[in-house]
Amino acid sequence: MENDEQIDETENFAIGKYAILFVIEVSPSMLDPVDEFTPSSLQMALICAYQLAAQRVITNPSDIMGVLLYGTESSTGRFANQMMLLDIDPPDAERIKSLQSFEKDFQFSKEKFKPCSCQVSLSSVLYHCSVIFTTKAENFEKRLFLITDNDHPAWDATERDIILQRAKDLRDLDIQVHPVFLDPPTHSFRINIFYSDFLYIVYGRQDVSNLVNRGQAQLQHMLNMITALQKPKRAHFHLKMDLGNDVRIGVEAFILLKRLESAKTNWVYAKGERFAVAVPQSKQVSFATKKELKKDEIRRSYSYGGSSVVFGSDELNKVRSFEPPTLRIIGFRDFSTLKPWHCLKPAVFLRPKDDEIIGSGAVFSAIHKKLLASNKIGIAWFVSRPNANPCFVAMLATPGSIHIRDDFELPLGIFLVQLPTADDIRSLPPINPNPISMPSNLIETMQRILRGMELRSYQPGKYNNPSLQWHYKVLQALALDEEIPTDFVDNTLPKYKAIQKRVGEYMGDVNNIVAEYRNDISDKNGIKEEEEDQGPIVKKARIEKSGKPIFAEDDRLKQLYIEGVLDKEIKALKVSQLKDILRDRGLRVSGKKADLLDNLTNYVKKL
Amino acid sequence: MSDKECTVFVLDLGKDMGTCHHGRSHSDLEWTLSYFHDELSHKFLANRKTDVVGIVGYKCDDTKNDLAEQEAYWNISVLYPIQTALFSKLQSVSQTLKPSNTMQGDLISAIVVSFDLMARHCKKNKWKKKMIVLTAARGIIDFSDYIGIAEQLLQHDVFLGVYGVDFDQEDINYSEPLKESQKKENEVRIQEFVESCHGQYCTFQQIYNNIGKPWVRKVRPVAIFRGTFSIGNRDSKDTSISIQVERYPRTRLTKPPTSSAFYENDMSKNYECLNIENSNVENKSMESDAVSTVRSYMVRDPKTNDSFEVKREDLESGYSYGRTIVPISRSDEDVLALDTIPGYEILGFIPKSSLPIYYTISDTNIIVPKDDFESKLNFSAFVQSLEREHRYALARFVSKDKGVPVLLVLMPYVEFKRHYLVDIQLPFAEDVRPYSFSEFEKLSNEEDMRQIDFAVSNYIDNMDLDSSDCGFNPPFEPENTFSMIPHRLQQAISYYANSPEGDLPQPNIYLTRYTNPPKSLLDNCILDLKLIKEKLTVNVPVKPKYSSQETAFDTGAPISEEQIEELLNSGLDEQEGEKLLVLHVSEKDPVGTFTEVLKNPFGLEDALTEMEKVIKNLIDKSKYDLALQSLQSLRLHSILEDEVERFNEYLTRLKKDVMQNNKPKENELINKIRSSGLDIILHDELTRHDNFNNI
Repeated sequence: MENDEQIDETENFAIGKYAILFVIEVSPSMLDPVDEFTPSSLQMALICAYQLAAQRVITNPSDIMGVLLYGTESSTGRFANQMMLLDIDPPDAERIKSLQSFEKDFQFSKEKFKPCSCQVSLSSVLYHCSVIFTTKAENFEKRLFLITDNDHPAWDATERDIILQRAKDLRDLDIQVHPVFLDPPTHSFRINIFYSDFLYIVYGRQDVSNLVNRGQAQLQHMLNMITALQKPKRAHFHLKMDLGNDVRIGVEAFILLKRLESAKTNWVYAKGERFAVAVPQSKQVSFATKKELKKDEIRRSYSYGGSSVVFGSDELNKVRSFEPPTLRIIGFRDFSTLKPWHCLKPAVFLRPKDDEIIGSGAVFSAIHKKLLASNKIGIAWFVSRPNANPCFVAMLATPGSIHIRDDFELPLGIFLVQLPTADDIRSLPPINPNPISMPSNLIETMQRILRGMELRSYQPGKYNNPSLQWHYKVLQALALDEEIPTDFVDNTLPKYKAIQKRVGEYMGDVNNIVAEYRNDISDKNGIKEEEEDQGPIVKKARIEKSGKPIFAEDDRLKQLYIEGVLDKEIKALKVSQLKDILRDRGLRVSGKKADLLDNLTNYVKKL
Repeated sequence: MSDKECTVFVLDLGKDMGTCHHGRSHSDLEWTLSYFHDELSHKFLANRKTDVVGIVGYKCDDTKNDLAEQEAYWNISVLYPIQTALFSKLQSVSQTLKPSNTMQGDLISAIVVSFDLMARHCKKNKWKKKMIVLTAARGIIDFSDYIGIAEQLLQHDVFLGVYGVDFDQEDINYSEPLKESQKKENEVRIQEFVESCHGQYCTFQQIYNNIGKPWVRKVRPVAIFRGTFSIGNRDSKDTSISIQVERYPRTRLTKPPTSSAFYENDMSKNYECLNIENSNVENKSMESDAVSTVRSYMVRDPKTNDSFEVKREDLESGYSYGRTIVPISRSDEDVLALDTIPGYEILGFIPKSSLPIYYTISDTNIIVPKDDFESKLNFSAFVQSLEREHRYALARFVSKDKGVPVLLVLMPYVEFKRHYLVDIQLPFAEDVRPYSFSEFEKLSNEEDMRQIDFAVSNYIDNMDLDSSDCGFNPPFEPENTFSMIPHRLQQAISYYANSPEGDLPQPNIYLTRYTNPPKSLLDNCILDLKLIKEKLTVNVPVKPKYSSQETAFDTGAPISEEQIEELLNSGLDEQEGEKLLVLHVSEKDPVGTFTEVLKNPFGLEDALTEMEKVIKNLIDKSKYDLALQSLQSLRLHSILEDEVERFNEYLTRLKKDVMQNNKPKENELINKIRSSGLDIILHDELTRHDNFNNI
């Protein structure tokens, strides 16, 4: 929570590009395995860097990342005992592969990380970081993760002062420092020896012990921390909310919940020496003369009873424009008047904006409070942007303390839910869904199933999009030349075993009740059949030829196949009958009759 | 099988229809034809070939029908044989609809003629048959054989609607004053006739009140999914429940009518066809003027920096993995799709109160059981259980093999005592955008805060749309609203078809009747709103809207002394007077005025065009620094406003012009353009912006 406040304090004008530098100390204790099952701290730090890079290469391809080791015997560049393991650059497949090798084959790489015998100056390391950021990441939001188990980096008072001065320099350069302190083998990390003063400088507060991550397990939470630090800041649009009688307040709109699609597809030309992106270009040409047309030469025509009514683009703009963007309150109603199925789109989230009309926040807050207290909704007329289709919206105030994700609480504000019009509401299908009659205990048994599968609420954060996750896993495997994963976990699948254990018995009861009820109905129908036997023979023959009862059983189909007459028999069926047979077995019912026959034949072969 | 509809209008064209009655300023015929035109307009907008129309006039001066050999069928004319409703032809027919000079011609005989037309056209096929009679029912009507005719209409399922001028109607308490006895008798017998064939008898005033109401197109329900709905593992049949269901759309955003593009070729601004011969000729010429879109794919050779075109078949899908492009051939594209099985699977059940409506992120669908015994039993029991337990169901849904799974909430829905389910999509973890917000800003004065709370509370209590003070009639309900742009567009199409040169009328009152708060409610809030307004302070912003983003793109070049002076001068200008609406990009302050013009509605085109001219003029005047700044701003906003191709074309042309001048300073300008990062916008840069926007 305090991290959020800090982010708000430093108002960022960056568009959202991050520069992240991992600074990891190399020392004998960092290289020793913690125990038989846990890798060394250095290896874990590198694994975290690799996982972060693999994650961000998809979600934030414009970020840049680097890894700097200090305390090594060898050096890259002019800073002694400091090794730039990964230059600060956008991550791509090759660079991620090199990071990945430390996870898979750390022993082989261990030679590179031989610690030096002399003491390394942390001030020199911090100065090196500031040089890296100022030369390569000037316009980025800068973050530095310092990972060490050495709680006394300064060997005397002079060195201490120099390090603290470097910390001030980093702060002045808007570089955010996030230490990750690990316990050395002999004791717990001691902040008070040196780093409490350091933290005071980088965080600007005295008591920050609760902000400091400690222990090896905390490395596992680094990804969450880094992800949590990153929040979108851009508003969807700004406008004025009109209360009537020329009273307006400023608001800005956001989209909090919207389907995230997979990365955009480009076209790739693969026949050159290297893969190259092909850029599609469109031209509008005259159908007759093939001449390219300018925009003002093109007109739109609408068909009206077989004739055409032609509009230029200016005229169409006039027709489409009702009024400038606005949000005008029409009135208020009780919450119960809102139907839960009146949905069309993701809702728009509103917050007040005080910079043009001071006091907007106070008025907005009062509206929000009153709507919650009186359980009401607002009705407003909403034009979001020029040429947008105007609509009526319901205004709903959000209560506090609702977690959508573990790291995100639903903010206070007002949601705008677009209401459907008469045009948007479709007719009900003509099927009557109600059965003629129903056994008395069926609903009660079904209610037991509901109680046995009770969930407290729906929390979006608990379900990942399996299609998106799979897409990225496969993409990463292809890019890094790995095998396609086979252990994918889809947490949107029902928990079959738990359901079976809790309510399997009741579901069996439901099936039995329905089967018994059908038998009762069949007994009555049986009596009818006896009566019909006295009727003409033609009726009975026609029933036999209807086809569906004969093909209802798989055993019968298999027998026909063995006898070699299946093709002949099913060819005589109508398309609708074939579709019924296929649908009962969950097979595809699209295509022509020949396709349907093939589907059924292939199915029977597998029996 | 689409719904086929056949409508025949029977129009009273008697001499009496040319006169006005009971204080109306338009004649009876003009009055009834307003409904006729409204109905035709709906059919023209629908553009359905299976919606056919016929027009029969009676009490005409001439006779033109297939039964004319008998005298009883004289003075009846078929004005438009049953066929598709074509605007050009019907416009000609409409112009001939004028009162005749006779009162001869029998209404019942006209109905027989219309019935004969229908019988020949529709034969025994499934048609929805309608006959609409518009009459004043004056003069003598022969009712001698109406029983037989009524039986025929019933037998062939023809709907008969008789809408009469000043007909008496008891249920709405209307009675024509000083009605002549013959008309009164005719009305009574027409009512008997219409009731005997289960038709609709209406005074025209009631019909007239509905003219102009937006016409809502009825979309026939079509199943978008058929399959299995299961609780538990459907592979173990004894301990799971499977229901066969169908899924239909319930709410969908209405789209405007579709248009086609063609280019102007010495045609008038609003084109229409007035007669059959011209229609054929001009329709042909229109086809030849059609516009088609040609798509090509360009690849840049990194060595020579030239672009060349490649074929569509030589391309593969490429997915971005950071800066790495992973090509995936068509056959391998299957790998990216998750292996899934279609159907609904229930995850669990949540309390109704735990799911706010704003969690949903899609339109809605309705679920019904398949039309068989077991499915209906299980489905109805399921829905009624949800109702009794006050719960919604959470479900995972896949629409097809290897389809994308989505999470849905299933809500019980009861209408006309029928049990349905409604499904709406819910967000995944990835769909949450974790914005962080500070607390609401408050006024420093506690007393002011209390007063605002009080005033807002009164305001919300008084602006109750469901109170009796509210002046909305009918009361506000979403079902009483209409989709704005589609209906406005239809209004414009109808209007310009009939009046090509006229000015567009105001939007339909039905569209705008709820768009302003009711005055009666606002009057109750005058004091509260006044108090709220006093607590608000309007603060004129100092910086333009995009200043923060421009800072991010700042090259960090030092500001010249000329720029400093100009900034100071512009400050003086602002102090002198109030801020005016900026309509043009000026050479004096191109960046500031450019961003201002962008804020205007429809300002994009003007802003881009004028900025391009300003940059060129600045270069001609050797003001290179200002030109560079302007170019930078133009480039940024071209990216933001998706006008990248336009910018690239402009820059290419600009550099060519500058090269032709061959001045040393201007050559240096081109180098500056490249070194400052202001060159042509590349695809990679767009991708970065796209990913940023999608966060």
